[in-house]
Amino acid sequence: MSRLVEIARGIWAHASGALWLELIRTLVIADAHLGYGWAMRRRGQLGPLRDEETIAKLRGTVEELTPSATVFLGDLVHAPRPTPEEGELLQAVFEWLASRTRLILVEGNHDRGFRRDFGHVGFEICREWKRGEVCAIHGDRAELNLPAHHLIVGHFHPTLGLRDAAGALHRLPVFLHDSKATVLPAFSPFAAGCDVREGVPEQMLSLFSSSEVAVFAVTGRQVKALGSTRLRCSGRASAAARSSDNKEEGPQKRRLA
Amino acid sequence: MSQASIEELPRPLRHWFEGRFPAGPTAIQQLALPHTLAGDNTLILAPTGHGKTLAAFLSVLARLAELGERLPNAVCAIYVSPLRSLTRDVLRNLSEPLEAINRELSERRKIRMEVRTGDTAAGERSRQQRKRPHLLLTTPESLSSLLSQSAFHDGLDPAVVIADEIHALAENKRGTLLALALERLEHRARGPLQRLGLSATAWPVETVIRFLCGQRPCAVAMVDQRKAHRLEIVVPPEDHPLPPAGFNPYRVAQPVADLVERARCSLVFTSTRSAAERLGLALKILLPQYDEQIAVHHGSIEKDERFEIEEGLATGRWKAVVCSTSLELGVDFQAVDQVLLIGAPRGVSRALQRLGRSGHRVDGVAAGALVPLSLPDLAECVALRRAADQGRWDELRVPRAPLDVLAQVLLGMAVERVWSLDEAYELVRGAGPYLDLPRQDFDRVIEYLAGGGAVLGPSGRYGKIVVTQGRFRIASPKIARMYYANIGAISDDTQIKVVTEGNRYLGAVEDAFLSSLQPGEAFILGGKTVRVKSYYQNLAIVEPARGEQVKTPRWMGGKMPLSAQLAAEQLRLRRDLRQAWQRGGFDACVSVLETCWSLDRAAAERLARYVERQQRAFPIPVDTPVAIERLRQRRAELLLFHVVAGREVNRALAFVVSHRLALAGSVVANFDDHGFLLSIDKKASPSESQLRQSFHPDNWRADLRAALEANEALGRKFRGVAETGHLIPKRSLRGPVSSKSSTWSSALLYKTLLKYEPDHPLVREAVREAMEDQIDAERAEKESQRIYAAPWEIYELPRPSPFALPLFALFNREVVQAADPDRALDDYVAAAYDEWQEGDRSSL
Repeated sequence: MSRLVEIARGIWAHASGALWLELIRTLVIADAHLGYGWAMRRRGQLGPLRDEETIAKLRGTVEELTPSATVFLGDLVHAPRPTPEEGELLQAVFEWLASRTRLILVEGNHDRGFRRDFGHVGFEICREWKRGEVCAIHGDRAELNLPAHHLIVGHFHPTLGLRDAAGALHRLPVFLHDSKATVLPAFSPFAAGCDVREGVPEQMLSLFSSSEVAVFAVTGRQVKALGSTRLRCSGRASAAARSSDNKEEGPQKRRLA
Repeated sequence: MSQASIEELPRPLRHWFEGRFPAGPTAIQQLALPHTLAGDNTLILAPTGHGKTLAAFLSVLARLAELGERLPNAVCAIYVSPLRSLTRDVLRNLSEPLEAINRELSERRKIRMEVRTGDTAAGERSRQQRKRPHLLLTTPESLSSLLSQSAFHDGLDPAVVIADEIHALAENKRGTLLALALERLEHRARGPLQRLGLSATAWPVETVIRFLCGQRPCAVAMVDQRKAHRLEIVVPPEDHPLPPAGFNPYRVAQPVADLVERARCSLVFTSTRSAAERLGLALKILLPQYDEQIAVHHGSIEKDERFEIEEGLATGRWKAVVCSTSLELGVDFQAVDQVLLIGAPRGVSRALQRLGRSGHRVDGVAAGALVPLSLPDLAECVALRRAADQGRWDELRVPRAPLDVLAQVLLGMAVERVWSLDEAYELVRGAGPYLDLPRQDFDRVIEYLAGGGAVLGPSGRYGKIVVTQGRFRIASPKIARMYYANIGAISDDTQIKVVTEGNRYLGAVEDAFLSSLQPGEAFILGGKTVRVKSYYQNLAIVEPARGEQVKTPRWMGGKMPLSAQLAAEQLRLRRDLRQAWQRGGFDACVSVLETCWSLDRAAAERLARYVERQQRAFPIPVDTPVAIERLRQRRAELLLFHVVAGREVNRALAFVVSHRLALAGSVVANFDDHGFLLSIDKKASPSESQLRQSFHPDNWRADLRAALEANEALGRKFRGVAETGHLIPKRSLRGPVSSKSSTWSSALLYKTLLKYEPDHPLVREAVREAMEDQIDAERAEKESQRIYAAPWEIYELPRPSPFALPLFALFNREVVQAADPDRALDDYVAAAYDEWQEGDRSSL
């Protein structure tokens, strides 16, 4: 079982779903969606709080790889305006991280209130983060005129459905990669995503140079290369994009392909 | 005695009755009236068309007439039915006697009878708040909503409640909602509430009484109804082969069209809404001369159109109306002279209910025909007819103390006023379904509603109720508004309204269906072919289409499971056929079907040929010996057990067997009414003795519970419980929540609750529901015992036997045990590697 697989020179996929830029010792984590349970409670859904698992995974990964910098690729928190308990909990996590690694947040569509809510913790907050040949963006905006850079993108939560011998379906988070871009799986174990074989949003397809991309599946314990697959456009907005705003879900506008 | 009862009615009512029914009261009315007039709780059981509705209403009308000028501005009597269409039937049928009474009353003191359901317009609702209907016709959901509304804090204290088609209510959680509503009504009145229950097919009587009255006394008025129907079985002509599996109604469209042509007005029942749509379209094509006289009716059709269709059935406007379950209950339609049941209904009661809708009777006998859709369906029809003829009704099972409905009702009570916990607990325990509710369970539900739980302690933030000093109340007006938007105990997919460009409303289809359509693809709704032109919020605007590729919408609400009675009857049929074949092959089978099962020659030969085909694989599977098939399919081994016991049993067996085999990999189960199929990694193939051990009677219940509790598969079904228990909203204050998002979030919630709070009341409810409502644990345990001790015959086959084919139709595929993702990933990579070996150049 391998914890790290090299997907391009110096770029490694980690079993947790994080990306590891070996040469600059930088960890990239997309879509942690912390505080999801709290946000649901604010909407009238009395479910359990479930950040424990994500936080444990976050700490474990940082301890395992000891990065000098950690880039959060957007949607670090699920909703603005945390409750006092939630704010306290998250602040403790962020402070723990800050004591070990430099923190960068590439703003995602869920992070609109982050500067106000957690700006004091010492995050470097930006829209895009460039280092050498790579450029990290969240992926919710269509400002993609950066041909010189290899794009590192979150937002889409790609997964792959695999059938085991008995015929049961398992959905595993996956990295998608080609020469032009790398799309990260959601770090949160609770995030829904698009199955890359059921068709993906056009916005994601246009990141890659062709529709043929390499796939790397993660289980939390291991990461494995699964060869390549041909992506198909679903003609619809991604699940993540559709439920992206923190407002109560109102009547949805549908898109006609 | 009978005349005496009629004599007791107030004069205008008596005059009306004698003028309308010169022959005097019917048998059931004679039996019921002494009890109803005396104010007793009464269960009234009689076939449709025997006047049982009037038997109940005569005493209610008498009471209203006696009050006459002294009637307060308040609801004095309530009629509750499971279907909106039934309330309209009643409205129509009671208008005459009510008018007779009202004629004697002064202009400003008339008795008001009104309907209030989900269809009632806002203007009418607010008028009803000011001028309250004395006789209110409603549904369990609307009644629950009224009980919480401040406008009805007074003026909602009826002396009597009639629950119509009580069997259809008692068997599900809508009935539980009603049972609690009755307790709330009685609590308000601070006096006894007279409860009247009506049904044609409710059995066992004690179960129904307990549901309706709890521990209060209840009289029973009942007439024998075994001779009230006649059923024919119609198979398509020889050149229309019946398939070995499946439920495609196109297969039988021609014979159905022939039957429709012969009768004056046919009412055609299918098992699903989409089958109704498809058959309706096929009939219009096959009978173009009746194009305008064929209609499709089901719950997703626009309200006014449904009304119109129902009116037409009374007057005889239609040649045929095709429907699913929407017209199953209620009064008989005068014009209907033929009822066709397409595909065997899965229970005797259901079949009899449907036959009862025909208004045309010769000597009180309702006639109808069963049209089988496949060969196994033909066998089912044969068994069904026998069970119906012998009056073997299905046993009613009432959900026991569902905690999700309890949560919803407690929330509703909190909206109504401040309650003491003890008072609320006592109230709840008066209802039949909650007689044995432990205080601890009640307290856990309260804790959940208060926002507490394992992680947050006894009272967390964002609770829906606030508990202080042994009393509870609603947390905020916003929560109250959310409560009103989410009343009910039926979970359905978000419905998208479909309108024409001229803004005419056609009906509603499920969100998930619309998003599966390709651009420009046509679909049918209410027998009309349309194509989506544009979407606007929760509206789909359509234009007429002439599509070759027409899709039929899917609606939720799957097929019913085969009842225990019918399973037993099927087994009898199979044993007869097996013995006949051993005795004298094909001819003996035909003869036993003709003589013992009253089948005509053509149908008997059809069925005998099906038996012959099965015989090529192995003898017809019965209960002893137990027949098991082993098959290989790609990387899996399939173990197929023939168990004719209904899917409520087979699902339980599938869970326990796979739990006990304790394999490292996944187990996927398919199950139907006649068996179950386990698919496992062929590398993990168990031995016969391992298999037999997995049916061992020791510890069986505990293992079933453990198998269900550990299973994330229940998560997909958790949505219903989560919505009924107000854990996740069906509708937010801005509109319906998309079904995709709530199915997903409920599966996720279930997973996390299992992990952090496995004794959460709603998780316990999901497990209870699986064990008691969707599974018949008691019967399954007996069946497991029997299989354990019985001789087995295991057949290694290259392909499934004919009798096994329906199991491959995959209606009920369920992952009963999931491997961990690492193993699945390894499996997948290993399999890909193996495939290269076989020279198959495939990519992902």
